[in-house]
Amino acid sequence: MAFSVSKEGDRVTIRLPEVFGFSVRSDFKKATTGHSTSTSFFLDFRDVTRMDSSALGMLLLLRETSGGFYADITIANVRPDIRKLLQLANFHTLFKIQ
Amino acid sequence: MTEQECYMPEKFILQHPAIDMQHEVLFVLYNELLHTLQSCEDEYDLADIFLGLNVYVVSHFQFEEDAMLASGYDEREKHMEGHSQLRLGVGALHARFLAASSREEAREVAQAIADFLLEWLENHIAKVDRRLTQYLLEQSVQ
Repeated sequence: MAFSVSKEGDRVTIRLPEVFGFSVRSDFKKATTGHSTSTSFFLDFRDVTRMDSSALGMLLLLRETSGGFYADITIANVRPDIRKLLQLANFHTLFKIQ
Repeated sequence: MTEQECYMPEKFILQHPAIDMQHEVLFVLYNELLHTLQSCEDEYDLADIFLGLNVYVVSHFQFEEDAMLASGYDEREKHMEGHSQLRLGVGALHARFLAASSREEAREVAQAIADFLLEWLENHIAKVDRRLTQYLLEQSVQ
């Protein structure tokens, strides 16, 4: 499954590709910038089987560009091995991970 | 993590999975800062990168400080002084960045932050964090 973006009202849903890393940096940035601060982001990880550290940087920068502490970002449908990476990075303290 | 685009030099790998991962993320943010300073395409706003750095530095320090407390690490106070130095240093430079009166001045301060961050990461990880992770691994604290 390729990178895809849909928007409904103030909610942006991004279905991330199998490999979430530097190769989608440009697509990810385009999809996540230029929205109002009331926008919520739903990041669907169902296809993600591999992720590199640049993806973690992208997630942190999304958090800041969309309101920092008040950002409404949900990371969902995460496989156990990817969840483990997010936990190692301490991201469970910064994001809602379903 | 397989499609590894590794930003942290190998010499800083300490064999503690969580601390290594968090240091790697700090190097990713450092790299974003350089990327933006070099005016590459798709750069993020410098202000957002600084905020991301501040937030993640706090999160990472809290992780280490909790681990030190839980494991009874006897160099905890000294280690935390190092954390304070970075917080204060970045905080002061961040204030200068916010007060900059021109884009050129803001970029100069951003470069100073990048230089300060790299020097701190190199010294702190190579010496102070290496001692901590050796202790945590001996205590089997992940």
